[in-house]
Amino acid sequence: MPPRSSSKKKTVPANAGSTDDHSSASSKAKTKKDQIDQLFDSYANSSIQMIDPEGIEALCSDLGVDYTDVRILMFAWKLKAEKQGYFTLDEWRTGLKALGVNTLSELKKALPELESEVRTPPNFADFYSFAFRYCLTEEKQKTVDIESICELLNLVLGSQFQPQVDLLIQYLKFQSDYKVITLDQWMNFLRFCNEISFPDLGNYDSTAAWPLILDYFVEWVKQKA
Amino acid sequence: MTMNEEKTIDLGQGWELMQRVNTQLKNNLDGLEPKLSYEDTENLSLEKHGESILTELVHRWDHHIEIVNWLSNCFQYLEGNYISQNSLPSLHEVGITCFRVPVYQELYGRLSEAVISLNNNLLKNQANKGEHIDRSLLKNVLDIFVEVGMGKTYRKNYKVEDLSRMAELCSQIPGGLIIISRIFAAHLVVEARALVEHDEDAASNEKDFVMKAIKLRDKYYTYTNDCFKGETCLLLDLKIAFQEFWRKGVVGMSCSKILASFCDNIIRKGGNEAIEETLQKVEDLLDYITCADRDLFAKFYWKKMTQRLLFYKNANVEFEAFILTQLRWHLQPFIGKMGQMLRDLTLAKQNEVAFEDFLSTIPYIDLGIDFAVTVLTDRRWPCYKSFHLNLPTEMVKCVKAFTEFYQTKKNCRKLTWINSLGTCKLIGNFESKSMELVVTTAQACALLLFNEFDRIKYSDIKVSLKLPDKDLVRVLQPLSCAKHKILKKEPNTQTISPSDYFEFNSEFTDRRKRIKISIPPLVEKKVVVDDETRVQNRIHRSNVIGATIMRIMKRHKVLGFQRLSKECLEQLCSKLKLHRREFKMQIESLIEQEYLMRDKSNPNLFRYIP
Repeated sequence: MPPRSSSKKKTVPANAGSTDDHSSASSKAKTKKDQIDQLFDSYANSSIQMIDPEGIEALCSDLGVDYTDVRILMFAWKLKAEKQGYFTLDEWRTGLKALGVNTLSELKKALPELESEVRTPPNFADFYSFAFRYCLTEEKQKTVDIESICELLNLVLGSQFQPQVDLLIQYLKFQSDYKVITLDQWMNFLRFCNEISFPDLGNYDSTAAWPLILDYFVEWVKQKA
Repeated sequence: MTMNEEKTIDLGQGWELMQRVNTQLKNNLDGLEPKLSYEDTENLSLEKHGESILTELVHRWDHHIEIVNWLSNCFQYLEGNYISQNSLPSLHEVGITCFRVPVYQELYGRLSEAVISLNNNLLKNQANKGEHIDRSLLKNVLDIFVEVGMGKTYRKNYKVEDLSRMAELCSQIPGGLIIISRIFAAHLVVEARALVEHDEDAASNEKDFVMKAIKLRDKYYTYTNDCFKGETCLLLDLKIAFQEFWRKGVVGMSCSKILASFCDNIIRKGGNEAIEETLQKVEDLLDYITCADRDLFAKFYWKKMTQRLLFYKNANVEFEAFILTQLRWHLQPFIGKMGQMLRDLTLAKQNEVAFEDFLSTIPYIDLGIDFAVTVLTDRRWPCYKSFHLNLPTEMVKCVKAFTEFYQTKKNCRKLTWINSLGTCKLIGNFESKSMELVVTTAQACALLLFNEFDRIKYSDIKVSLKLPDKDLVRVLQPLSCAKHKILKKEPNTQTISPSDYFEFNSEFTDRRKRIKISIPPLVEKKVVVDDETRVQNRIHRSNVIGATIMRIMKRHKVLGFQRLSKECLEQLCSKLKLHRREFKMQIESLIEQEYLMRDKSNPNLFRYIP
């Protein structure tokens, strides 16, 4: 008998508490949190408690940016989103709080700021590696296929290193040795763009620890020239 | 200086650097050994004999090695990159050659003499416990012999008695046997390598090659047993040397394949008294191959055996069974399969009689042709393509009768007819004479069509046989375009095209009464097996390289790329030639598997992940 009564006690106050929260929306903090949550609810798929790809598409069109815009990827980075195409409520709350925004219009205004934040060097490396991990959709997946890599390269590095990225994509599509790209190779693409003089590639040293795929790439470029 | 080819930095800059290093090096060397000149060595030794020449040799050798080490260190970068990439001899090796050519080639006669006399003195003194002779000198000289590769001529020049005496002596010096055993094994490697290099066409002549390998092994085991009383450390070193030899294979062919072909060869030749002995020798050689290679050997043997049993007219089931018991330890993974294969064939013979009895009991069945079936147990034999073929009524009748018969024996088994393996004997009535034609089932089906029609279009044959184009071309080509033109083709070209017409060639003639129409072999099969071998070899290499990298990293925890590459090269130099690409690939795979990671701030640094 006693155990039963105690379990009842537990459930009843919890219910009461939550209704209480809704009824007394008095403090400012709570209003803000509610605004964030409400915004979340307006895009979320209620059956899974997450914003799904459809919801993200709706969000994009409301923000006036393309679904494939790099700023959406940056937004996902800010949210520290785990799963590609989905935002959980927790991710949404921490992300929006970090951006200091509560409403759609504020979020829209914050996007350019976010972009310049990402473009600072230490953030960018982090964002760049996030972009790769964000593509790992399957459990235990560690590599990303060449086609997605080409798209991703164009998306994240295209504006900064257009000629290198174009050439690299051309090579990746041409070669047949690699079907997938690892995180290490991916990270070294960024290092390559940052460190190697272009278009002469004069300071590239194939005896250094560059991944083999870049040795092949440089060989290919030199042969082509 | 080869350095210039390697350096990617500015040529002038590199050259200047080299000059500076060179001068500095020379100065240092002069201080160390003022009269380093090999002519000097020669002059010196002209006057010296016996022990003194040996002492001088040891002295010079010590200096030489010091210099070689010095130079190797200076050109470490060259060694780690250019040399390893281009599979050139290592700097150490080149240094040794420098010593070998002028010193050894000029002096080996006198050196051998000196060693022998020292041997004899030592033995004498051993007997009368007389004056003390420097044993360490002999040990040092033997060390040099090992290093320079003088062991080769050294041993060759000895007779068995000398060798035995040497063995006795060495067993008295601490560690002496180990040294002599190393010389011995090193010499075996040289001879084995010569065997491989000499036999450029070994691939086409496996038999000779295997016979030579057997001889080589016998020779060394005779030495070991007769002169060294079968010392274990010698046997072990020989085993390692032989393993190394086998692992490499010959001209891109794996040893497993060579040995399997060799077995195939001797089995096809049939039984004689020597076969048991030969098989024993093959088994001895099989002891030296790795487990993976042994599995591969079993697989190759199985394939060869299948071919013998199905296509070789002199196949002998009892003899095969006998060989199987002989080689059973080396055929482990396939032994069950192969036993079942032999049982299948024995059963087929019994069935043949039973089938005839069955037919005689049923009066309404008259096949009109002889018909024999071999039932192969599924999954014991290789996968054969069982393409659909529209059989003529005569054959359909046979198939039906046999199916009925088989139901009476094993009613729950399903029969799949593999038409691609069938052979038919047809009597062709040509103008000059009638001849027996041995053809495939599909070819027989095609030829039988000409009993009804004189001239048939390609497309009509196709409709009758219901064969896809690819297979039909293989059926018709040997009949109309090859040596024996049983069919006349219009137009008379070397290839088959869908617009062709065929006609029975009644003018065809040949001096033989029986003609076997050969079928172009399917090439794909071979490619698959060879690929397997190559893949296995690659896996083996990457395992070895990966393990070496991990061993080094476990010790150092953090290591730069260049040093890791150098250490790995050093540790592997006795096992395999490491290519830079292979090395990089292995590192990348270890990073992916999270055994290693790149340092966050220095990408040329690798960290061990415990």
